[in-house]
Amino acid sequence: MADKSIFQQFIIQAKNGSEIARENIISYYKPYIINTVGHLSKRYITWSDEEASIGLIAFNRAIDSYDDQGGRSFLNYAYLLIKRDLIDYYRREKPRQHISMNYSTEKNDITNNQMEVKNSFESFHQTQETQDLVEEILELDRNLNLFGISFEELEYYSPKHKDTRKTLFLMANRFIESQEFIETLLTKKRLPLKSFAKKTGYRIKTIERHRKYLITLIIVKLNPKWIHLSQYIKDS
Amino acid sequence: MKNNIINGTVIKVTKEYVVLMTDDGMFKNIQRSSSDPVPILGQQFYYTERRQNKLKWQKYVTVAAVFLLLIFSATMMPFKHEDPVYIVAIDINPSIEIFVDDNLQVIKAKGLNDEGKEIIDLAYQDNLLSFIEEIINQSVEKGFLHEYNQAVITTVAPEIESDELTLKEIEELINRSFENKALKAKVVTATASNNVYEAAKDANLSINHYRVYANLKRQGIVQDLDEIIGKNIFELERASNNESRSQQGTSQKPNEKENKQQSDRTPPIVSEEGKQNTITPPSLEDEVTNVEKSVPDRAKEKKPGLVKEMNQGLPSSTINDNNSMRRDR
Repeated sequence: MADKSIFQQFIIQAKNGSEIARENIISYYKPYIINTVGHLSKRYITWSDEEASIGLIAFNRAIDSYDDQGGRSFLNYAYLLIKRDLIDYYRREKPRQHISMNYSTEKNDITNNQMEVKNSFESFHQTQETQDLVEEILELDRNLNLFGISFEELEYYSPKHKDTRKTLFLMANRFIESQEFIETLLTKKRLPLKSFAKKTGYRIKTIERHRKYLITLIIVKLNPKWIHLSQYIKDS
Repeated sequence: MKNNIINGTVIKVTKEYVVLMTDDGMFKNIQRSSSDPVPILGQQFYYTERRQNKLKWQKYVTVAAVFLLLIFSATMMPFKHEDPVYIVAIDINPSIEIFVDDNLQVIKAKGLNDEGKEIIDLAYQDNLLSFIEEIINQSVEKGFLHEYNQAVITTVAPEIESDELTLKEIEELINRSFENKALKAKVVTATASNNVYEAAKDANLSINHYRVYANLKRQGIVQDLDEIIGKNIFELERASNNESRSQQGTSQKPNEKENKQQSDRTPPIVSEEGKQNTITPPSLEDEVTNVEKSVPDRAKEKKPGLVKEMNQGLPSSTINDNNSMRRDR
C-alpha cells in the first residue's frame, strides 16, 4: 500500500487478530503474491496450483512476523518467506520430478537452509525505488478495477501515434481542471463523455476510442503521490 | 527492416501476455508462451518486435484488401451517392469543394480555380468548421474577399440528416468570421439533394454553379448550359435575383404559383448524352433547401423557395473564369 501509515495500521490490526484487516492486506497483495510465486517457480501459476497456496500461506505468515523496525520493507520480507517455503516445497517434491528452482540444482545443492535464505536475499535485493513502484502498480491496478479496467486491456485503448498521445495527455489535464468532472468520474465510475466533449470541444469518438486509457491517465494524474508512475506520463 | 525495441516496466503477467508500461506512458502486451519464465512486477523488460514477420503478414493482408476493395468498389459504385460523405462547396472568388466525412473531418479539398488551390494550400485544416474559418481569413488576407462587394455561396450535398453538421452552424461561423473582419458581404447557404449533385456532375459544373444555373433556367432566363459557360457565378446569381425582383414587382403571388407548377412539371435531371448540351434541372423547390442569413433589406423581397440572400451587389470585376470551376471528377 502506497500509503504507509494505513498499511501499518492494517498490519497492527491483523496482528491483533482482525481478520478483516488481514483479508484486506492479502486481497490487496494478491497480484503480487501470484506474480512472485510464478516468477520463483519459473512458470505461470494460477490460484489452483499448489505453489499459489504455499505462497499465500507464506505471505500470511509474513503479516504476523513482519517487524518494520528490522530495516527491511514488507515486500522484501514477504518475498523472502515465499521463496524459502517454495524451496522447501520443491525439495520435498524433487523425487517426484517437479520443476525445480535454479539454485537447488545438482551442481550447487546447498542444503543449508540459512545459506539459501542468505543467497536468496542477495539475489533479490530490490531497491526501495522498485518496491515503491510495485506498490504504486498494485494501487493503480486496484483503482482501475473499480472502473472495470484491467492492465491487459490498455494496449487496445492506448494511442498508436505520438500526436494522439499528446492530445490525450492534454485531454487528461483539461479533465482534472474541473472538479465537477472529477467528482462524476469518481462517484459514477464513468467518464462524463458528453459534457466533457461539449466543454472542451474534443470529439466524442476520440474520447470513446481511448476511454480506458484516458481514465488511467486521469487516475494517475489525480494521484501525484505515485511519483514513479507519474514519471511515465510526464507531459513532454 | 529495422526491429523495434520496446522497453518498459512489467505491470502484470497473464498466461498469454507480459503487460508493459513503456517509458512514454503507453501500454504494450507482449505475447508469451506458457513455458516462458515469469518476470516480476516492476522489472524492466526489453522486447524486440520483429517487424519483418509483421510485414510478411501485412503483405498478404494488403493483397487481400486490394481484392476486397476492388470487389467492394465494383459492387458499390452505382450507389456511391449514398456514401455518408458531405461535399461542401464554397464560392467566394476562390472556388473550393471540401469533402468531409460524417464527423466533419476533412477527407480532401479541391480548388476549382487557381485562387481556390492557393487558398487550400494556405488554409488547410482537418476540421471542416476550422477550415471554412481559415478559408475566409485567408481570402480576406489575399484580397479575394473585401467589404461590401463580395459574397460567399455555400452548398452542402447531399442533404443533411445528421446532427453533427448543420447549415446553420456553417452559416453562423461564416457570419461570425465576417463580423470579426468587419465585412458585410452576403452569405448564401443551401443544401442540395443527391439528384442535384449528380446533375451537377453530369453537367460538369460545381454544385453552386449548377444550382444557380438551374434557378436561371427555371426562371426562363437561360435555355441551355452553353449560355452560362464563361459566366461568373456571382453574375449569374445576380441575374437570377434581378429576374426575381422584376417578377415580384409585377405579380408576385400568381408568379409564385406558376413557378411552383412549372417546377412540379420539370422532370428530375434529364441528360441527353451526346445529343445536345441541355440538362433540365431538378425541381429546386423540392431539392434545394435554402437558408437566409446576414444583412437585411432586399432579402425579404426575394421570391420564396429559391436562394434567399442579403444582397449587397456583386461586382463583375471579380469575374471568375467559369471553365476553371468545372468539376474534374
